[in-house]
Amino acid sequence: MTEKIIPFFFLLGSVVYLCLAGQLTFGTLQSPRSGFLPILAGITAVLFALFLIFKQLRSKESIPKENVDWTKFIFILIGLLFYITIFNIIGYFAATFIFLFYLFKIADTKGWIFPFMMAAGSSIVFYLLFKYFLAVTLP
Amino acid sequence: METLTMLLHGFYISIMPINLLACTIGVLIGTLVGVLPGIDTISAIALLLPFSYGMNSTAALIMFAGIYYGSKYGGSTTAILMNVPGEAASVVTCMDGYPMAQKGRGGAALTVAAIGSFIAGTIGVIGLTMFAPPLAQAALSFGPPEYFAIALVGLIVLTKLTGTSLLKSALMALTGIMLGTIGLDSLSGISRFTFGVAELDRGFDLSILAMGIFGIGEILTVMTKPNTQNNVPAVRFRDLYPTSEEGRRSVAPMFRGGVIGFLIGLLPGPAGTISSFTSYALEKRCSKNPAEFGHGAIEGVAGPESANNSAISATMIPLLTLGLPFCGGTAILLSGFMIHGIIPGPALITQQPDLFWGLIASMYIGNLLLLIINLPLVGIFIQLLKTPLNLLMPLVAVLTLTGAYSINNSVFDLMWIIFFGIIGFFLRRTGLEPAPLIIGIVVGPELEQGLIQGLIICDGNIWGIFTRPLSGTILVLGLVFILYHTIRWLSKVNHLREEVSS
Amino acid sequence: MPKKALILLTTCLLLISILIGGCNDIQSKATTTTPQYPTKPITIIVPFSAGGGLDLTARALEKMAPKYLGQPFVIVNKPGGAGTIGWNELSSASPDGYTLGLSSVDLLILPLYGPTKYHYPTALEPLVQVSTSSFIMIVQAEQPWQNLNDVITYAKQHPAQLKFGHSGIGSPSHIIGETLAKDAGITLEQVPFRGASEVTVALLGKHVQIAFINPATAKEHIKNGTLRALATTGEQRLTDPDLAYIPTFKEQGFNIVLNNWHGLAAPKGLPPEAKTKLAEGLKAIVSDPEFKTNVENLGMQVEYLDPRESTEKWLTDGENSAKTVQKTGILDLIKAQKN
Repeated sequence: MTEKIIPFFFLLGSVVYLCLAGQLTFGTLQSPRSGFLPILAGITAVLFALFLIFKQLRSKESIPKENVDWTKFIFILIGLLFYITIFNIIGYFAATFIFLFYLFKIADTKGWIFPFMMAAGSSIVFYLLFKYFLAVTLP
Repeated sequence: METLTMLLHGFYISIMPINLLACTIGVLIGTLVGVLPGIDTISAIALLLPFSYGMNSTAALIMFAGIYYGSKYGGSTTAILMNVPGEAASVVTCMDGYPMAQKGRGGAALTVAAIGSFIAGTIGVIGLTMFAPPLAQAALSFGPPEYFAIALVGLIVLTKLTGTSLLKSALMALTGIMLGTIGLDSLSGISRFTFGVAELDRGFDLSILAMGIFGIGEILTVMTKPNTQNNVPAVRFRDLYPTSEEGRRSVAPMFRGGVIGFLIGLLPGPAGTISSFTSYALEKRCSKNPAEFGHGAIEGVAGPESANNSAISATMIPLLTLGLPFCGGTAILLSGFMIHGIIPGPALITQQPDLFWGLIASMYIGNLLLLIINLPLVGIFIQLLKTPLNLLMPLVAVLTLTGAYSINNSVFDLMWIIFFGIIGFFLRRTGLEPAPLIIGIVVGPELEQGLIQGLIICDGNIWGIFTRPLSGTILVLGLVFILYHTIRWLSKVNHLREEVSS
Repeated sequence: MPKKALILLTTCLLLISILIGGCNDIQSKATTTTPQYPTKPITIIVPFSAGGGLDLTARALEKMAPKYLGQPFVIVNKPGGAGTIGWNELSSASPDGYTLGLSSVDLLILPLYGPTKYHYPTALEPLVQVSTSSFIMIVQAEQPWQNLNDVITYAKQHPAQLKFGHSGIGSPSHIIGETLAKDAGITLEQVPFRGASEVTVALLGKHVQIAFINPATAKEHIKNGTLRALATTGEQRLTDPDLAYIPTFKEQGFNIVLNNWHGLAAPKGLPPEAKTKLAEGLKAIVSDPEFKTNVENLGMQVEYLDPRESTEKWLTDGENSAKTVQKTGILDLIKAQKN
């Protein structure tokens, strides 16, 4: 079912892109301007998306879907978003530690002590590795 | 031959203890940088530049070069084992390397990648030694119209040969091109599609895209399986290394990859990425069972990995003979040169033969060192795979995000990487191949640049692109390719129609 | 893991992060500069990616910093938007003296083309100018033109046939080319590239006929005889002995003076003691002979300007560039890109 919807997204995206690209001047062959390629690409994309939708409507095949635990999905996303939000605020080490612990629990790690230690240990290792050894600037 | 004597002289210089040490340090750092996703060679070398002020120039440059080509060896590790490309050039390795790992052939894949990298790297350095000046001159005659021709034909060919459905691949490629136009465009001087958000001016970094779609996408896919399985198939010692059959199948791709990568490396642009994709397409074409590609064909690992290593050697040619960097990596190497007061160019060979030949000789040694280092590492990395997935995945997630942050020091990038991760997750579920997307975003800017510059150079005469000898030839070859496949497709359709009607 | 436990965990996460985030914010607002400036490492924002010209100058400064200022520099690259992203961030950084940034002539030119968050006269103030570099005009050596006038004569006879490469629309090299064309009354077709090396490649490959770039990129080829330099944009000729023979545009009758310069800038409102300390320290760095060698290795000339002189230069350069951009029609060109 999802694959029937996806081409629509492409169509939508391509149309939006084309409209935005319309704001850019096309120019002439003599001196092409910024809109040259975007408009060409946008038109082609819209055409292809239409073809794809047409083809999908006709065909009956579908791709075997794996089961997905959607609750986990949402929680992981929340975790990720939190991580990058607090990243700059509380610093790399603390943020990574909390994030790792959170993810470990989501991934069904048993118990509380072990994930705690793993998260702490890994955060330390990563921090040292990146900050001192590779001299990456981390908040 | 004079070249050989000079080369021998170079070897003599490169085995001097300080240079040898510099080479070892360089390749070690390079491997580390390559294995860790995100941290790229450019930043690593840039960080070490100030430290090198005090070092002897030859040693410093040998070290930087070591980092540069060393990183290409490591990039395949995370790609094969965890479907997380360490950098854009390793994306292709994910496509067949990861399925191999899932079948328990991960060790074989890693070994083949290491050996292929060595063989191709050496081929590249040999090419560099023998043909540097004439190749550089030849590379110069490629101008914007030629780049446009190559980009266009390359785009069509690569889209056709990677991925399954042509229509879907084409759509992905176009999306890639469109994504590539977002940002501040120096060709026109304005920001496109940025909605006034300054952070978007940078456009989408290729690595962010690749790490998002493949890396975070993979993590999301694995972690949301209803029951996170902890048991990874036990790895026996035999599985660490390739079987004789796999070895036999890999030899030709390694050499083909080496040659192709070398040729593509001479052209400007992201040579590593383009060469690995091209090698993949070539291998698929030459293979006896192309359907295996995407599910664990060893040629799909041997070819691309070799290609991107020899491409690196080739990118050194314009740098050393003309003093002109064709890609980001060589640009930073150029900075390294300049900091030590050496300006590479046509005079470098004659004025600083010690440096030139010492550097080249050290590349041979470096490649050998890398092989020696990487082979045992295969065993270690396979052990890492034994880590239960519920521990491994979060760690990889953090690793990927940190690496991504280190590219531009921007949290904004992290947002995008998560966004692309979600997209990658859904792409997998709908049978849309992400590879053409990467091709689109890599080739798109080259295509546009070549088109716009080419049109100005030919005074708006689009036939000018056809009449120039080089670009004309390339475009004609591309046309032949398209016609060939269209005819085949038409005859297939005819066949089906006949079968249906009879 | 049972759903309830998961929800509990998430709520805990939220609370912790809010608490810590809140505490941190309160803390950071309370810091002021202590009299013993500097007491901790200074962050330097470089608005371009690692390895570029500005970045290398930053690293040259970084090397000398501990010796003259007592604290190390921490270089943070924030590339994007031809410098906009980095300079935006600099202007919104807190003016406590611990966040500085590299500045170059692009700082003045960018706002001419479109709205930038930073308004440099009010948001930033220069601390020092460190080095300068003029641009040179080069052609292939095989061409029959021996000097600037030859090129102009040829161009007049063959309008719109000559093409010049530059490193991006609106960039200094583009401005120079267009100014020359306007002043000499000829038409030169501009071909945009993404950087000085690409321009040189195209020139060597004979795809364009003229180029305006910095001397470092082309020096070897000029010495080798494959390229010929016809003019330079400085007030005086270049100090590099290999290139000192190149006449300036001024000598040949064209008032084209546009140099690229690198400097250090800070958000406005720096405490006076920090400013004086920095100015002194930077002056000492710039006078250091080792620094001089490092900069010259990069192809630039050391030219020191103190904060007051730098501010004047910013204003004059800014005005001049604005006028030139308007006169040569580059502004219109860029505006024409959008409907």
